[in-house]
Amino acid sequence: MIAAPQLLSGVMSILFPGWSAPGVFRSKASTRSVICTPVDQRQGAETHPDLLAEPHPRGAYFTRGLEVCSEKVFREGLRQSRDEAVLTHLESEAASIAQAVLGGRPDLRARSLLVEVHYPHGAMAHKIRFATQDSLLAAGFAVSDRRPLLTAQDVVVLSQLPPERAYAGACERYASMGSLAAGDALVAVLVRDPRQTDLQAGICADGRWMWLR
Amino acid sequence: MSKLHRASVVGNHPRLALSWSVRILASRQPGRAAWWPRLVFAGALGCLLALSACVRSYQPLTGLHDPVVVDPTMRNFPDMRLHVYCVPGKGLKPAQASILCQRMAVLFENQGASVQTFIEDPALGGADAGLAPGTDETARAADLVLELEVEAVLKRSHPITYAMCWFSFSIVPMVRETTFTQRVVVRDASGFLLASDRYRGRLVERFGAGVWTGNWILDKFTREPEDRLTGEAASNDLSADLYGQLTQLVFNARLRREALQLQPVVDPAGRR
Repeated sequence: MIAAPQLLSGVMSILFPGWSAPGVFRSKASTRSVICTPVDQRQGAETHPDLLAEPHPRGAYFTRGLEVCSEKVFREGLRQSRDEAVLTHLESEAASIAQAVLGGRPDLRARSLLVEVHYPHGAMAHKIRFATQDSLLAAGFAVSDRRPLLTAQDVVVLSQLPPERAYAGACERYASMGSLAAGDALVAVLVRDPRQTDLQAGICADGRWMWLR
Repeated sequence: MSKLHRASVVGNHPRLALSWSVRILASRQPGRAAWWPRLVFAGALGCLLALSACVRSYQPLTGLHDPVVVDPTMRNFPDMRLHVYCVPGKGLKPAQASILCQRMAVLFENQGASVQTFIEDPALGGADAGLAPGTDETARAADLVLELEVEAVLKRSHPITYAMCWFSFSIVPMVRETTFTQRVVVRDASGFLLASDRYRGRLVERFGAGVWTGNWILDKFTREPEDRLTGEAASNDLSADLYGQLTQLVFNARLRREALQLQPVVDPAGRR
């Protein structure tokens, strides 16, 4: 049996096709505030049981294209573009970092992973750190909330080095100072360029730095 | 009517057709069955005229309207060698792939990159899309390889709107929708995957004198320039979105490639 909202949306799509596109009744800005992803009917019925019915076991008379559209949480321009871009893909980026750790250093499963984020805004860095820790846990790693420390002098020296030397240098200092113990490893998530919208990552273990992505 | 009818006797086909149409429209023969041929013919004529009055609107669905930070008008890729491979397929004919590749070449050359374009896999010694300066250049290894593929195209016509357009003399528009998926992959010269994304969008074309006139009036008098729909607005919006996203993706891939090049050789014995 066809659910009433499904029937209504079907009738609307026949009478007013392309209604979601910009036109007389809809501005470009309103269409850009929505993200639409295609779903098949079975998947849609699971996620939106109030709107979609299960597909009939013997199939349907029509081929339907279903899309689930959701409003963006913040309207365009409210957050900085880079923050918005990073947050839009944060879940997949964090999962990808966890997969990179798993692929690059599977031997670190026995260790406790610390996560450090280098991002210009503190609130954003906190969100990225939390998402990365969550993904590492989901990938089966042991995660610690502890942060490794450097002395102020180390920070001054390292901040003047190019990235290729700074991260390797910091990693050596963590090991020599003992802030990163033998049973620990550090996953650093960072943005190297202000125009970059994805997250790069490296890992520090046993005083050696390795870029993951 | 009589003049046109006389002219048609000469045997000039367009005039013959016109005189026939005028004769049908102006027929005053008695009888109840005489109304529908006029209506059908007038509707057809209206729809034929309306085919030239198209309002095309573009709707980004996924990925195309994500925020972009990098500015495509700046020199973002100085001294970078980029291969652009436009994969022909069901949604992209070889001629269209070649045009797309050439536009990509202009986009990235304006940002300082040295670009070569291909419509066959460059890894297999594919054919150049027409922009490579010579065979020596073609043989040069790329820093990055950008692959563009139109993965799926869903075209939907709406027959009910065609009928409504017909019988309303094109006051009601006929509607055609095209949903496209653009798959983008960026690799390094060895084929290592650096970045990938998938963009989805929809183009809705509305044909009819009514919709065109209405939108033209709105564009002229009430809409802001960025909200206008007539003319080349949809193509410009789609190009701006696609070029921005591609620039951002290639920029991110370039940074990732640089980071991986900094990688010291990992000693397997060092792993525990």
